[in-house]
Formats: sequence, structure tokens, C-alpha cells
Amino acid sequence: MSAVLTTDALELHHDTPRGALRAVDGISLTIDKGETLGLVGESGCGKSTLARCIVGIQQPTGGQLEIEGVRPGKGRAMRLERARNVQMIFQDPSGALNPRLTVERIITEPLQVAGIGSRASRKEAVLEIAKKVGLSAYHLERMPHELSGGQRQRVSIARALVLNPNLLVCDEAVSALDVSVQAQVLNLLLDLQKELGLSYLFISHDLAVVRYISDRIAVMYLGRIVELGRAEDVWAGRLHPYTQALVNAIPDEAARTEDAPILEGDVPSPVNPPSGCPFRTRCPHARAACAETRPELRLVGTHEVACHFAEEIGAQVAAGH
Amino acid sequence: MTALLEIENLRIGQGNNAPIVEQLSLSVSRGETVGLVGESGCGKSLTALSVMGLLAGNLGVRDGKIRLEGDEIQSLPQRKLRHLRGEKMGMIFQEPLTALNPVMSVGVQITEVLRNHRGMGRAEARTRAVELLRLVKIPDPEARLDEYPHQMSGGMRQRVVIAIALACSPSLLIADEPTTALDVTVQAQILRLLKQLQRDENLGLLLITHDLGVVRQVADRIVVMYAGSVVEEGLVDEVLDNPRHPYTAGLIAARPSGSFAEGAARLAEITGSVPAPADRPAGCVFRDRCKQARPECEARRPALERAPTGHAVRCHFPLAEGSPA
Amino acid sequence: MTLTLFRRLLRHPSGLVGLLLLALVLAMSLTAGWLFPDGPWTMAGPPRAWPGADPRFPLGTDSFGRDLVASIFYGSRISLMVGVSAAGVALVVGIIVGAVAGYFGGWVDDTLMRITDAFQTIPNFLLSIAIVGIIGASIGTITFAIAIVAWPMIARLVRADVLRLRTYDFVQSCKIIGMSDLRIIFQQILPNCMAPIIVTASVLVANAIVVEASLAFLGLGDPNVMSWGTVLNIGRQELRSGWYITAVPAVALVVTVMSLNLIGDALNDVLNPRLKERT
Repeated sequence: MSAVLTTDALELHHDTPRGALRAVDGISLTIDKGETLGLVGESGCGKSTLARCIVGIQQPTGGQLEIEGVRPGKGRAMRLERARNVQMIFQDPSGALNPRLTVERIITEPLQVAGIGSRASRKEAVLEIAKKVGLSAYHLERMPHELSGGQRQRVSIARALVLNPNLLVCDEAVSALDVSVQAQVLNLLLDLQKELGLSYLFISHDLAVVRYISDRIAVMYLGRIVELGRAEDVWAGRLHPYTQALVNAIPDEAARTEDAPILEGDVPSPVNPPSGCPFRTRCPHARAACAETRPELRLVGTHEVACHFAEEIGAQVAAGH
Repeated sequence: MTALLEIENLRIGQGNNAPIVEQLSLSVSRGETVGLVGESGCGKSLTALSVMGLLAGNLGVRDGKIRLEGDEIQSLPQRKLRHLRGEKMGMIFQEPLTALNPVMSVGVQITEVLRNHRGMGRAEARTRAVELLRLVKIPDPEARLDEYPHQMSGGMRQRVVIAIALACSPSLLIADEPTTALDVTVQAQILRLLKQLQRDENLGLLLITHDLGVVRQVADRIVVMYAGSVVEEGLVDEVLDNPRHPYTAGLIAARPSGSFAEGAARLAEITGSVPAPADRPAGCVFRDRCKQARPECEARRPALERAPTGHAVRCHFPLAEGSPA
Repeated sequence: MTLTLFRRLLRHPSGLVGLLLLALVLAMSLTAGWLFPDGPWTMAGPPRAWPGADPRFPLGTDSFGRDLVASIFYGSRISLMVGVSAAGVALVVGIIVGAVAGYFGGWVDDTLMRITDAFQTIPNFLLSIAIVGIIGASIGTITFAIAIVAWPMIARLVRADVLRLRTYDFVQSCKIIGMSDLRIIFQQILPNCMAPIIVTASVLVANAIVVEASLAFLGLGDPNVMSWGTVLNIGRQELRSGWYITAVPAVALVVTVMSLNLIGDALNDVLNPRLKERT
């Protein structure tokens, strides 16, 4: 299978007065054609920064990035080439659409900028993609504020897909939507994937949504991937204490008992993160060794984990069942 | 036992426009957590604001009664309401950053409430403020008093907001989406804290949220709102395990569970979107999104029918008990 | 869009009054040549005729016997022209500097904002006087002198708005589709910050008219054109004996400036409807 996206030790460090901010700190991952990689983590873990590096609105400071086997370069031609391969949809469907343009104009813009087609053929292409995402000619004449949140997110999706990209980066794309509308958009994304053979990088803080839509899941903490594998392997066979904490934090019946373990404290600042394992300051299993060496992602059982004591934790979990 | 908070037939409107909330009745007793659930625009936050007497602009209570410990409060003058707001009711908002004054230290913001409402002296108020911060489990409370909101994390700020709400030992706490702006692991901490405080202080807690999981974890009773009115109400487990209103059932089924790649079912959608107050259909407000809708649903508006168990539903054709959600 | 804005302005009380007053001033400048074919400089009657003393000169004559009505009519042309063109130049410069500084940030922003600061630290009116004093008084240099002190305010206003808007996802999305920076600035961002610019523009025109009159009052006006300031300057020398010579152009100035401020207020209400609802 051919990879749509490959990153190798991708880094984005900013200089701040208090030291280097390691927003993205060595991320290596691949996304295959037609595959959904779910990226889950809390605010400040670097998942949005990673997305912005992939679509080219931020420049990584280290590592490699390949889209369709090509390293994206600068310059207008390369920018347009990248735009035809990777597109992105955002969390807030109202902020993602220019409030002064009609929906038709918003969806047409990518074609215009890329110089694709004539006026008439563009109009046709826009209507076609609009229908695919569940909008009609009526919606095309509206302004963004005349549409509901779900419809606006459909407009964003249509704008992103009108160039026929292979990879769609969805940054918290359903987080701002109501549950019933969220289901509509998730179903739409699944349908479009099947129809168009799209690959998704699906970023969310909501592990249940990520588990539902993803083929594989990557869990991020402080700029690094701490667990990576097939969705059900990561969900059911979770080995990293952070992934376990994320699952335990999902509010539901099980969390009603007050002795269920929950994570104390807050995510530390990505400026001068803890030495060794970045999670050790909140980890219930932390030991002296965790402060000394940083655990790298390694294969443990069914999938990859970045934890010195993954085997031991896995055995505890198995004994617990 | 008389209810701590009783809302009866509340109607909230903006100017002369169609009412945004109508026929809304609910009650919260001491020591009880009621989850008020609904999607954006259903009127759940307006309901909370009307209880606090904080409806702004040309929004106002048009009809109905709001009683706190038996006393009607919807017609009280602002001065008395302001007193009640501190003494008997506390409120927690979604965004802790905007709920706090950025140019005042946390300590000043807590002691101000105590000095205004309780007439405490400076030293006494400070001692009580430290107690309050300890109550909401802020580590090292003495040092934290002199910090400013921007120096704190989102979770710490929300704890401070809770401490301020609890400053005068109110009997009713209203929390409007208190964890929506927080990270999941921090949400878990705050939910647990709220539950503990509610039990230890014997509070009535009205928890407003869009998240059924949060209700399931924290609440004793659930009130489901759709397009301005209550569509279903009852004990949490009873309603969520046996939803009788198609909307409640739809909300439960729309929530992803399992992995689609591993064979989980396609999510059940509720088609369309919540209508604006002026566009609500005649008859049952949910009928144009309802799969079970029949001609009767258009003809007249269903009443909230209560079963002996306390499980109430506003539907002409409620789902059978025990039918799968 | 423009049409509906105009209609909504007409429905606003102060907008209506402002537009009517401005229309009056505009009518004066348009009919000046037709009503007074001899121009404003002709010594048409006896000097220092008080208003009402001679039915041919309802507002009287100045110390050279020139008809004050004609002076005011012709003067309105200069005042409006200088006001509009100075404001126009200031807007163009301010918008470009502010938008570029806000959008690109970094050293571009630092450099442009230090230049803006430099202009703002010098007292505005003194700078205008100095410029006119050095390069000489003509309509062109006066317009230039007024514009050069007015643009920094616009630049700051636009920069603040662009700083806010550039973080919006729709701007990010334009970058992702490969849109050029200039197109993003001028086609996507600027149309979204026109409201405060339009409001400020009306105040800017009023301000420019006052500065032009002030310069002329001090004798720094273009000697070849009749402006309200020119009349003020003539009146200044006769302030004790014939105060009406000063009062007539002063009233014209007040009416014009007031009409523009009323329009500005109305625009503010019309363009920010939410602000009004809250109060």
C-alpha cells in the first residue's frame, strides 16, 4: 500500500523567552491511502501544530515530511501542488468561512486559485461536490450566517474536497457540533472516504469519536506519540498509563464510583518539559528510571508504546481482568 | 420534603417574538443533582439565567413561577435578587477565564464576595478564602490566593470559580457546562469534585450540559430539553437505559461507540437541525425530525405525561418500555 | 450592500440630519459657479457692509467689499475637496501600512509600527504647519500635510483588526489552498474590517476640513484659492469691528463638521447593530 503521508522525526520548536517550546517533538508516522489515522490528545499536546505543519501553514524546524512521496517545497507552484494533495477542515465552522462571501464563492475559491477549469466548468464542479456533501443549489446562494452549524461544516468539507485531495486533515472537525449533528458529519466523512478513497488525519480530544472513526490511533502527549496502533488494539489493549487515563476520564456510568483512578494535575508546559519521560510527573507508575531516559516508541504485543514499563503494566491489566 | 428549587410553567421570550422556552417545569431538591440536557439553542442556559435573575437585554420571564425554598423569586427587585444570588444560589460558568476578573488576584475576588455578603473583616475573609480553596482541592491555597487568573491552568481557574460560588454556603448550585472548555482528564477531576461537594455540603445541583455521559456520571435525575421545552424527565438510569422519547433515544444512538472499522454500526442520525424559536413546527416541536411522526403529532402538542415511577415523557407515541435505544 | 447601507443611514435620525446638512454644503459647492459667475474675489460692493445692511449682500461683505455669500459658496468647494482628498490619501496609506504590518507581523510589523510611532509622537498640527511652512502653501501641499499626520491613526486601527482576523480559520484555509498573501489581505481580510474604517473616514474628513481652515486662518492657506479659512484670516484682522466676517465661515465650518460627525455616529450604529441592542 502506498503512503499518502510520511513524517520522520518531525519537529517544530519555537524560541520563547523561557526556553524552547517543543510543540511537535519528533513525530514519525505514516498514513496509507484510504486509511484514517486518529490523533488524540489534550490541549497543548501539539496535535494542531502537527496538522498545521502537514498542510503547510507552519514550517517544521526539523525532520522530514513527505506527501505522496514528495517533499513539499516552497514557491507558488509547490504550494498549489500541495493544496491539491492535502486539505484541512477546522473546529469552528463559523470561523472557517469568510462571512462576507456566498457559499458558492467559498467553495469555488480553491479552483480559482489553482486556475482549474473555466467559469462554467467550475460552477458545475462546485454543484457536484456540494451535492456529495448534502448541500443543494439553494445553499450555494446563501451566506454562511444563514446556515446551521452542521451545514457550515458541510461547506467547509466541500471547499476542502473540491480540489480532489488524497488526504484530509480534520482538526477537531466535529467537536463544536451538537451530538445529533456530529453523527451526521461523522457518517458523511465515512461515506466520502468510501466513495473517494480519501485518507484522513482525524484529530480530536474525544477518544470515543476517534475510536469510532479511525483505523489506527496515535495518542499524543507533550509533542510526542506515546501509543500507536490499530484502533481496537490501542483501545482495548491500552498499555500507556496516559491512554489508560484518557479512557478512564470518559464520563459515563463506570466513572461514577469514586475509587476509579483519575489523573491528578495538569498537562505541564511544553516549554522545558520534564526530563526523561514527559508523562512521569502525572504517572501513577513513575519510577526513578523514568526521569533519566526518555522512552522511545517500541513494539509491545500488538502495537507500539513509549513506556519503560509497558510489559509490566500490560501484565497488571491482564491480571485485573 | 419540599423542593429547593421549583420552576413551574416557565416561559422566556425575547421582546414580542416567539417564546424561546415554554411550558418548562422542573424541580431540584436538597442533596440532589439534576442534569438538564439538550443541544445548543434548546434554552437550557436561558433557564439557568432566569433562575439567577440574570436574563439580559429584552429577554425576560413572560410567564410561570420560580420558587426558591418556597419563596417566589421571579418578581423580586434586583437588589433582593443580588442578595439571594450570593446567599442561596451559586453559579459556575462554562469559561472560567471570562468568569474571573483578569486584573484582580484570586484572593481579592473571593474575599470581596465574603466581605460584601457576609460583612467579614479582611483577616477573617482571608482565612475563609483559604478554607474555600482547600475545599475545592487547590494545592497550597495560601500561596495561590495572591495569584492572578492568567497564572493558573484552566482546571485551577474552574476550581476558583467553584470556590467563589460556594463562598456564602449556598443551598443551590447551578453549573452551566462547567467542564466543556476543559481537557478530558481535567474534566474528570472537576466532575468528581462537584459530586463530592454536592454530597458533603448537601447541595442541590442543577447541572446543565450537552453531554449524556456527564449526566450519567454525576446526576440523579435527568431533564431532557428540546426546542424550548422538556421532552423527557426521570431518574438517570431509567431514562438513559429506557428512553421513551424518540429525541432522547436519538441522542443516545447518535453517540459513537465501538470502532466502525471493526464492525460497529453506522451512527443513527437525527436528520435536520434544531429549529429557531420562530420556526418551530405546530403540534409536537420534534415531529419534522422524528421517524415515528404521524398525523396526530401535527394536530396537537403532546403534554408531559408522568408515569407512577416519575418517568415523564412528552410524546403521543412514546417508545415502548425496554425497546432498544 | 452600499445601497442598503445608504438606506439604513437615511432611517437613522442623526444619519438623516447629517446627510441633509452635508447635501446642503455639497449643493453650495456645486452651484457656486452658476450663482456667482464672477468668482469669489470680485470686489462687488462697499467694504464692511454688515449682514442685512445691503439687500444685495445678505451676509455682508468683507474688508475688501467681497460678497461673503460668494466666498462661503466657493470656500465650500475647497473645504470639501481638501477634506475628502486628504482623508482619501490618509486612508490608502493607513490601510496599506496597517494591513501589511498586521498580516506579516515580525520585523515588518516592528519596522512599520516604529515609523507610525514616530509620526504620532510629533504634535499633529505643528507637523502640518512645519510641512506647509517648508514646502510652501498650495492646495496640493496642504492636502499632503494633513494626510501625513492623519494616516497613523488608520494604520493602527487596521493593524489591530487584521491581527485579530488573520488568526481566523478562514484565513488559514486560504493559505492552505495556496492563495497569495496580497489576495488574502485585500480580498479576504480587509472587507471584514471595513466597518470601523468607514466610521473613522467620516471623522477624518471633518478633521481635515478643520485643519485646512486652521492653516488658512494662520495665513498658511493657498493664497490663490478662496477657502473658509481664507475668510477667517481676513476676519481675524477685523475681529473687533466686524466679527461677522469671522462668524460666517465659522458657522459654515461647524455645520459641515457636525454633519460629518452625525454621519459617523449613525454609521457606527448602523454597522454595529449588536452594540446598540445591548444598551
